[in-house]
Amino acid sequence: MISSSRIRPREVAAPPWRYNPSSWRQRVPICVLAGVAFILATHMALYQWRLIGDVWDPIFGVQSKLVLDSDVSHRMRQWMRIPDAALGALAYLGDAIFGLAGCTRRWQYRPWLVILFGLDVIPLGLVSAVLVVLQGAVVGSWCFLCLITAAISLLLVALSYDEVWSSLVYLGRVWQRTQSYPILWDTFWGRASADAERVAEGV
Amino acid sequence: MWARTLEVAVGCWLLMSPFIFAHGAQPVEWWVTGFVGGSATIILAIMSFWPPLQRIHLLSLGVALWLISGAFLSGTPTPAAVQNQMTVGLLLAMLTIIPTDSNEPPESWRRRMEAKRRDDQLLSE
Repeated sequence: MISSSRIRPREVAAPPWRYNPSSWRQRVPICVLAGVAFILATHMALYQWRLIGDVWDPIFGVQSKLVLDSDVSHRMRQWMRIPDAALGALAYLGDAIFGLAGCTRRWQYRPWLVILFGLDVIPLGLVSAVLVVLQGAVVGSWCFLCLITAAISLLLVALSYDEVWSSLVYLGRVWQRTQSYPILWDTFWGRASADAERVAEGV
Repeated sequence: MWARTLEVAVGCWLLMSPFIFAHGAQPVEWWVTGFVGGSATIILAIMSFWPPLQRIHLLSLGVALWLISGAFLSGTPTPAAVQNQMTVGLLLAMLTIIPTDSNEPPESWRRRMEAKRRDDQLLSE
């Protein structure tokens, strides 16, 4: 094995940006925010599991309980076997896990990981935000913590799309250069090639 | 490496689960799932610390899918032990796909960079 301490990926901007969206500066805030949402969702899941008897809501009061015990929520629980808040908590935890994994040039070295992270944050985040608002409209009650987590979901989308876009642009340029499915496939899974390297260096 | 460490913790939780959720009569599958799934996860995670086997933890994805599908196959209302299986299964699925060397570039890129560095050194000499 090659000793890793001597080889450090250089801190360079990732096209089309002038900064590096895979840097820790960019990723740690996402993970912290996802961690906060994880804690809030876990609090609601603990209530749905009846491991705690009350759910915190300074604005809508008992309405939170009506939302968390609504028919929609019960149906979700029957489908998915666990409460919807627990699923949400796992998704936020996934955002943090996939956000922390990988080095500071992962948009190039592990596009699959960045895209998986993007799938967890972007479509899942948007869908859950829409569901929360719909639930408020359908059930007729509002839940403060649900709204906060929905807002965090949207904020996470805004904070993380740049890195996903970098990976997609990189894969797109590798495709343009090589027109080869095997090379595109290898690049996606983080296997090096001369073409991928040239694309990443902008040559 | 941190993903493997967390997998060991998840494996320990699986080993403890049959005792934690021991309310009333438990089907024997729950014990099997807890012990076999838990020990397999721990062993595979520890084996991954040895570089030639650093991808063996991917087999834990099988444990995760087993936990998840087991939960789907059980009827509703879902007992607490089965909900635990589902939750742990989803968490394990997310952890197992993190590469062991995720803090470094993948091996083929590392080799490429090393080769390039050697070339540069030769040129400068």
